[in-house]
Parts: sequence; C-alpha cells; structure tokens
Amino acid sequence: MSAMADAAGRGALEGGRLCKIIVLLCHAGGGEPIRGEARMQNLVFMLSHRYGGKEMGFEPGAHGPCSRTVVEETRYLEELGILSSGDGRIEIAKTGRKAAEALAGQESDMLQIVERYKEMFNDMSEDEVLAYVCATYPDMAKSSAAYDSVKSNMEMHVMSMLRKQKITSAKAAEMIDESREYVMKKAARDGIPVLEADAP
Amino acid sequence: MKILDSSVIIGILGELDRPDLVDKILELGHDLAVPKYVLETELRGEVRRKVQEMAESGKVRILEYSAKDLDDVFTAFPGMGRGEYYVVQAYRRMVREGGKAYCILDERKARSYASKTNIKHTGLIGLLRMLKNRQILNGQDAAGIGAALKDSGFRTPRDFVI
Repeated sequence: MSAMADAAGRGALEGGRLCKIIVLLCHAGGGEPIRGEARMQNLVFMLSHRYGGKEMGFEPGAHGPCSRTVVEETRYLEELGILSSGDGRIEIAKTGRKAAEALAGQESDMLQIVERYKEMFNDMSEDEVLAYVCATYPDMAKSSAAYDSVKSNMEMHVMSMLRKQKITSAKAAEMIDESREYVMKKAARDGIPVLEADAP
Repeated sequence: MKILDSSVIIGILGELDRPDLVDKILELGHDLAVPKYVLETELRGEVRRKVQEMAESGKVRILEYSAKDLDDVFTAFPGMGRGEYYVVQAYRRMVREGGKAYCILDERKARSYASKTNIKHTGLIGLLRMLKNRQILNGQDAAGIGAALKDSGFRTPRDFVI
C-alpha cells in the first residue's frame, strides 16, 4: 500500500489542484486531522477562490458550500492509502505521509496559505465556520437551514471569533452589517481588547 | 503616504476626539490617505463626516482604487475586513509605482499579515510616539492621550506608554 500511496502522491504533484489542496490541508499544522467532512468542504471552498475553483463544482448545501467532486477526491485519496478517515476526522494515513511530505516540499507557497486557513478554521466551532463562510459568500447560504439557525445568533458567533482573534473587528462589522465603531465598543464592553499597542 | 485603516481614524476622531492630531501629523510633512471603501462603508456618523470635511479641505486624500486585484490579498489572508484589504492593496500599488507608503493598522491580525508580507506598518500609538519624539506633542499631552486610550478599553496590552 505504501508504494501505491507514494505513486499516487507523485500523481498529486503532477495532477489537479483539488487533490493538492486536500492533501496539504491534512498535512498542514503538524498533520492535525480535519474535523469532519463539512469542515473539509468549507476549507476547500475558501481555498478554491485562490486556486481557480470553478471545476471543483461547489453548490449551496445544507451545511454551506458542498462539492461532490471534493467528496469523490477525498474517497479516492483514501482508497490510495494517502488519507484515512473515521470518527469525524480526516487525516494523512501512515502510508501517505511520505507522499504528503513530498507534496508539501514541492508546493511550499500553497502550503503556507493552506496553513493559514487550517489554523484559522480547524479549531472554530461548526457554527462559527458556517457563519464565516456563508456571511462571506452569501450565495452559498441559500439552501442551508443550519445557517438560518446560526444567523439568528450571528452577533454571538462573531464576538466569539473576535475574542479568539480569528477575525478583526472590521470583518466582524461586515458579518453583522454594523459599523466598526459599534463592534469596537461592544468588544470593549465584553472585555475583548481588539487593538494592539505598538511595541515601544 | 500614510494609509489609514478605520480603527486608527475612529481612534483619533472618535475615541480621542482630537482632529488637531491630523494637523500635527501633516505639520511633519506626512501625507494621509483613506481608501474610499473605508470612508463609505466602515465609518459612520460623526467620524465619517469629519473625514469628509478633511478630504474637502485637502488634508486627507481619498483613494479610489478598483477592487480588481483585491482578491489576491483577500484570499491570501482570511479573517480581515475588506477595508483592511483595501489599505494593503493601496500600499502595494504605491510601492509598485515607486512611492513610499506606510499602512496604519491597529489590529493584531492585520498587523501580523503586514509583518509576514514585508509591508511597512505602524499603528495609532506609533503615530503618537512619532509626534512626541518630534516634540509636536508635549509630554503632558501625550500622557493625557495615553490615559484616554487606556480608558477606552480597546487596546492591549494596557500598560503601553506613548
């Protein structure tokens, strides 16, 4: 299986961007697993805007953007022994480590961007991920009953993301359609200092 | 050219209510600019009105760049507001055209992005220190401004000194 995974890894290096994104997402951040399929879909969707994602076929789904191609590609990478999944986790399989490392070495610029996305989204709650993605790309919220529910508590989710420094107060203001001054004042009331003083 | 993000403008014209600080920065020979998006979308009420007046009197330049190459910045670093992306975009254009520019950003995430991409930047406290060091602000005034900023609760760490 390891030799097969290595060969598939080399294929990934030469092949489509979607395959690279999925493998790098699982490899980034010390190989921390991606927490669930919906999160994988959302992460790939966000990255697809940088890496020409029309061919990835995203459509509005129940939990935000959804692409059958992403599901199929993930399964394919599992069959090849590069990825493994279970218990709501998608990660690099033991047999896929070598191929993932090779890909990361070849695609260091892409890895840097992917790292940023994973660091930002992988420890958010599912509701926060949905809130961020659907508020940023409202077209993807059309079929999401889950987002309708999240939307009713949008300010709470946004302030939670602000507290964790996942977003700036400017992004928070955009997400709840308020002024930045409103968000800054609310943050101060909630004990979230959002601005940084320059080092002396 | 110092390109201002909305948090800095809110700091000077809202939190501190000190429009004279803009005059003091201009006294030092610095030009100030604000992306149109920041003015029209992120600033509201009295603060926006004051910036509009400053633009009309030529104190502040309003930058009207299209969103054409904004996606490159937007997709490289998630979590920032559109105004912050416009500030970075304006900086990149000015530098590309051979000009000198500085982003004035106050939020950690935006500043982290600027550091990682070699964008020259400072924040409101940095601007105030510059005024103090050049003796445009006296020690007493600087201390009063520092106390007012701490009281607002917007900033961390809380033990900063101007």
